[in-house]
Amino acid sequence: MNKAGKDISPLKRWIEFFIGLVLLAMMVVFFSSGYTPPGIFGEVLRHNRACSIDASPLFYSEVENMDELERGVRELIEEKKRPEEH
Amino acid sequence: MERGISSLWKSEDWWAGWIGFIIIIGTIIGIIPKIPKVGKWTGDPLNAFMIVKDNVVTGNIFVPLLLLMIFLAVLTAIGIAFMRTEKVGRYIVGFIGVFIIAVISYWIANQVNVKYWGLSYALWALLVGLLISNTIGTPAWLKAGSKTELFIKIGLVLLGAEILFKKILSLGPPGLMVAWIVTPVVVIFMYKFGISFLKMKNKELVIIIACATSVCGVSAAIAAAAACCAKKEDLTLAVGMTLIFTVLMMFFMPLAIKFVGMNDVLGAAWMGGTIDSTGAVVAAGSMLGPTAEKVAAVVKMIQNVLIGLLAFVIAVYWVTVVNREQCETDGKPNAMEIWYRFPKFVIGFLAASLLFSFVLVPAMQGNFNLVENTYINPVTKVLRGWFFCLAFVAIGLESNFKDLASRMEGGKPLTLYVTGQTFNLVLTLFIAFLAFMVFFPDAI
Repeated sequence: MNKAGKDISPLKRWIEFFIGLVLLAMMVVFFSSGYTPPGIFGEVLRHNRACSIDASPLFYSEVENMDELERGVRELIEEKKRPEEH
Repeated sequence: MERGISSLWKSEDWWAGWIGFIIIIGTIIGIIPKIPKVGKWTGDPLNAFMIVKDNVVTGNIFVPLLLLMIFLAVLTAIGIAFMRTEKVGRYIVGFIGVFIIAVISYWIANQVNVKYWGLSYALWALLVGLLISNTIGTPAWLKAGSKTELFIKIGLVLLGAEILFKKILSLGPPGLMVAWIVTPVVVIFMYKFGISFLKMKNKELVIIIACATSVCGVSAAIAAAAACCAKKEDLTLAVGMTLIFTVLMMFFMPLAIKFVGMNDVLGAAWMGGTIDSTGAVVAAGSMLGPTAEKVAAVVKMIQNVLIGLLAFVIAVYWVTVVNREQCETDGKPNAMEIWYRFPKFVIGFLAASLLFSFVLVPAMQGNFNLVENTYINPVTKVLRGWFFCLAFVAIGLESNFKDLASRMEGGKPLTLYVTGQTFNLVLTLFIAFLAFMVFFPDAI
């Protein structure tokens, strides 16, 4: 029986599972193939690939070069302050 | 709900804190070694499991992964044994199944082209879990190892270690203006809009979507969901929406900014304040140039730090206001009642953050990088990732499409997300303009 309360044979459930598995595998193949949408729609992807930018981190600490980015901001701020001090 | 002293060893909230702090203390005193993680790969899928030094394969991580699985299974099984929520043997068998799916999810997410799309492990873990639960159904042995709440709460206590308070000053007053003024306003606006205007009955779903939109997507959604004890389906729905819109915003915001010729720093601050996940912010910021990449990432980082405070406020609000309304009880709950209902893992979350921010960093001469490179990056961050991944697998395994569809309330969550994100975009742009162009034009 499925969640909607209908009787579904085990065979049908396994068929559904394999169809889902094939769809998931197709999705993985699509995204891992390196396909880039044409024109401006693929601009960010092309840039990510060219600069090896990982766009998947969920939290700041997962960004590999976060130290570098933070240091860069500190340097930019200090650079701006310098002429004022003189 | 466990009350009294026995809750210390019988409640999941306390166990999340104990396990989280066993890991944290073990890390600080040096008894927990570097935690293995699935690596990046391009063409050969097996490369994800290889240890490569100077382009030479020096070994693999199969044994370390096996040891990690045993370590996590034993650590969490101790809690399960005390809480008596499952037979320990059954739990361990189920945990092994959940862990294997988590490894598969990481393996898919770590393909480099998949990473360029910004599709994280959370998405793949959810999809694999949903595929199983909605077709053949999650077998009972696998369900026994799907302890979603425990995994989330332990992950959140460990996440606390990554939230270093001094980071909020990284960009000075303009950064604080964009990240800390807009965010609470958007959360309150979206909550009020969802409850009063859209008349959404599911308050937990409203606050999860509000936090995911305004703070940092998936991580904020997890924290908010745990703080208000939301259902798994609420989190699945919010995470699904935020993952899709994050990719869309990463693709189109930098193009729009370039098209209108907006100032790079202003555009970077705008994207840092609005795009949900940090990886997508870095990618979008990088499109505008190196300065914009740095500014966008740091604005997002300052916003990320809000997550602990937000979880605390939501937990207090839910215990003192929402739960009272739902129970339709008269009068204010007394202090003891509030304490019993309060999700204790939030204390562990804040305690971990305070320990790292105000004890460990000063103890290491204020050297953030040393703390990050010694304790956070090799151990607590990786373990937190594993617990979140296990949690998303478990959520997928326990969610079904019928329940998800019933939560759509005629598309109201989507309306809430789109309206909230639009408000977020307008307000963030306005405040970023004031901060970086009017009040502090020479900040960067």
